[in-house]
Amino acid sequence: MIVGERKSLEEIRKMINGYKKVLVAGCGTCVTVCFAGGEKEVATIASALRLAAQKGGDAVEISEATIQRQCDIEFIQELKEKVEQADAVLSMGCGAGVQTIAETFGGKPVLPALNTRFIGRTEEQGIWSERCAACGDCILHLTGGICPIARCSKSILNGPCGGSKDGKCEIKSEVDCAWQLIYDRLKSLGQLDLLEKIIPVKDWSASRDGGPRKQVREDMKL
Amino acid sequence: MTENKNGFSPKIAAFCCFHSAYQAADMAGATRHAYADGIYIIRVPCAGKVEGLHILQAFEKGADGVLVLACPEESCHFISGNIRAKKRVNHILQVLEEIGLEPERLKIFNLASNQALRFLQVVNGMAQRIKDLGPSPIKAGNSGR
Amino acid sequence: MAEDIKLGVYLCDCGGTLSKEIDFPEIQSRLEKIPDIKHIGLAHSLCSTGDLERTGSEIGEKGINRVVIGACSPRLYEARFMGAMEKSGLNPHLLSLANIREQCAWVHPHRSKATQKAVKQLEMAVKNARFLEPIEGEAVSVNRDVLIIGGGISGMEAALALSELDHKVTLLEREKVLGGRLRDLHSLYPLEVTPEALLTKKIEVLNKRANIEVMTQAELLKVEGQLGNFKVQIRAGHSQITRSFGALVVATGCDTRFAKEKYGLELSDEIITPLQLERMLKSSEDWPKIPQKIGFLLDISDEFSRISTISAFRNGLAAKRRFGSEVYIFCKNLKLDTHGMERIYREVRNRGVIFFKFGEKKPEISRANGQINVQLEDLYLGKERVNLSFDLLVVDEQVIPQKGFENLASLLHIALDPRSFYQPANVHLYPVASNRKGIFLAGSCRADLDFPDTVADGRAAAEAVHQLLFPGEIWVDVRKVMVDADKCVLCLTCIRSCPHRAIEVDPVKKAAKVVDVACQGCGICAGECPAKAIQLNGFTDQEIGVQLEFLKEAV
Repeated sequence: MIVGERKSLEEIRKMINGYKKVLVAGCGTCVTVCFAGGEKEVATIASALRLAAQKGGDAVEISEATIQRQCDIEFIQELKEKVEQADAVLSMGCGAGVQTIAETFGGKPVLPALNTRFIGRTEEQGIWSERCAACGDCILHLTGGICPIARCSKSILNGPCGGSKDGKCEIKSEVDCAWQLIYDRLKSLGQLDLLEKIIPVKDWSASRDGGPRKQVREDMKL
Repeated sequence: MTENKNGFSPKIAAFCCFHSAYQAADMAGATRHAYADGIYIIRVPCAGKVEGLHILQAFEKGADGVLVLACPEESCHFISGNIRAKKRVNHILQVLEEIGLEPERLKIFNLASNQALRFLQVVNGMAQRIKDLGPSPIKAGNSGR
Repeated sequence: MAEDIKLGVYLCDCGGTLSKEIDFPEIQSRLEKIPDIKHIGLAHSLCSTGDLERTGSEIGEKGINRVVIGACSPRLYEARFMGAMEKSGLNPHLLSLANIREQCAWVHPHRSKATQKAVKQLEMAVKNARFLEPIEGEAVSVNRDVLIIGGGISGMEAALALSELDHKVTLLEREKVLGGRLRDLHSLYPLEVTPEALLTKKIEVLNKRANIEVMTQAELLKVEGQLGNFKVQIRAGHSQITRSFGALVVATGCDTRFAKEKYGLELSDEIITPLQLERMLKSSEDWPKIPQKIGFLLDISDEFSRISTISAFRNGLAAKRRFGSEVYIFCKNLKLDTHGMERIYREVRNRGVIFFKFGEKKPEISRANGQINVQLEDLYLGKERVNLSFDLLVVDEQVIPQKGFENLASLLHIALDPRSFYQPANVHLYPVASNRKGIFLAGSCRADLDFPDTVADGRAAAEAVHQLLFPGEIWVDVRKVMVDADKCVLCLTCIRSCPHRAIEVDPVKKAAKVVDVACQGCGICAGECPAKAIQLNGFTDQEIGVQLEFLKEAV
């Protein structure tokens, strides 16, 4: 899922400074699961912002609303009335959510309460780590199900590099060397021969480097 | 009793776990020792029921201080409620810091159901600390809600 | 809240005593201003049968549908008040109690301030009461069969007791034979019967019982479900069996360990563990030479071990009786805290066993001329060094959880205490209950217990199981915790946080589902849920939030 983290209250307060009525909008999907922008977080941040405003003597009205998903128009439309009544929207969704709200309600400033960070998995309650870089050309079948783009600090395709030591990365010692993990996994799968094949230079145009991406399914269009 | 010369009597919301602090409060009552009348006990089945949200709401509504009273460490009646409560309180303390509200206004204490004197120490101590700090810089009623 | 709220407020002045501390007429006049309060009454002993009956009839006559009581602590009579409500036809959970005695009248000496506070408390309770929803009860049928994990003496006692009470019992043992640690002991003094004879008799009786099924060399593979309906997978021999049980009893016993690192020496022919001594006392051939002087060390491996202490007493006496040996016991503090220990201690002293007490400094142990030397600073003799040599020195051992305890704890989702024994729900009040309803603990798997406490535990667990399962159904509060399936995103937080493992995934609704029979109403799930999909009835966000309203008004 998409993992995001709330910006500091200081940064958020600077963003909403000057607006008299702010709608805090939550999202009931990914950011609820990583405790960053679900209904509870919305209520908590709204309360905190009100307290900060009262303390600072700012007269700002904070309202709240959470929808199922912020990346589909039908759900965004549910916010219509509340958005109309506000001067600005503080979205607690991921970047996609913030922008969808902004595109739908063109006349209202939409501000990001989160820093959207990565696509990842839950390691245990309260800990998430990055797994996928959305490179658009998946080679997980060649690496035993471990992604060298997302998990290797250098994103190299034929690792390890010379800095791999005791299974750890030379750039950040807490990070596992992805190629050590790949080696161990392929060994347990009995597929070490895969390492003998050189993975060719990556065509990064399938990734963000190729520009903003779009996906169309003709058969699914109405 | 805890009024200073300006007549400030702190309003403190005390979330009390029914299996520990609430009973200790009852026992404190039986000793007939007085404590500040601005302390209002809100009963919860477990400190683990108290959310950061409730604490912030208490401050929004004009609390000068908030107490969360839980079972002793390693003896939560429901195993992990006091641990959850502590984590949430620590999280909200960070939020209070970001808002600029004094962290002394929110405290969590652990006590057993028979610790009447400790209950008195805790609430009287809190009332005194809040009295010294003064009223909460948040003015109640202007919440814009 | 579609219905018209009609509140009834019942105050109690506790036999007139509270009228000194609180101005009741003032409270009544303040509350009268609240429009949806249809009745305010003052009783002198609301807890008495008479007053309760009167209250009940008033509720019925005036169509009261929310009750607020201002009286002593709910801990005293809440259940009684709820009973009266139920009798009058009102759901007993539509009650909000203001503790105006212990938490007001008794602690605020100024009458006017106490009265103000009582008014505020009652206003809080009134606001809370408006949001209360009924909680219905329902009977859930339960399976009366019981699984006992562990075939030592605790498990066997529990099996026998439950079988006598007409439960079908399955006794699971991972070794080839039943008996557990008792097999290793040579005596159960002061009982005359030997452990071997005791076990033989017990096993004989067990095998004769038609309603006890013994599975040896068997292992627990998986446990699902809740109290009343546990689904268990067992490996017995080469086959896998799935069974259903109403309750589980964990009686897996304990293990012992010689703490070499605390002693700083190796075991040998002359320095042995209590278990080795037991073995030697059992068989007549294992003695290298008859010991003239035997020393027992306590409180070095473990300062809490009852097992080592009882063993030292019993075996010290046995050695004296058999060989006429001189017996010495070195200890830091003797803890004689179980049934029979004081008596056997006196006997040990009367028979001439000599005790030495050491302080923070451990005795020094060394070898010389085929003998073991013990040197120590006795606590009572001051700086005098005591120097003794022995043919045989018996060390003490740490009591540790039985092998595989982590696996079993995680299979059953039961909590471990700081020493890794299974954690009882309350050491004093509910020692044989675990943190999960329907899973019980018996014997030395939950604490450092020895015979006969382990026997008592087995019977206590059996009694607890019987009380729970005997009626064949359990009365459960339904909708105590409510999950809004539309808001639930299956983040799994509640399932992971529940300390009683009482939440599951509903595969149809694709949302979390609370299993009412196992839920203990702590509210941790509601407190954790990031989607605000869970509310605990009686303590919802509204009900808590509305109580905080007192902060808005001036005191």
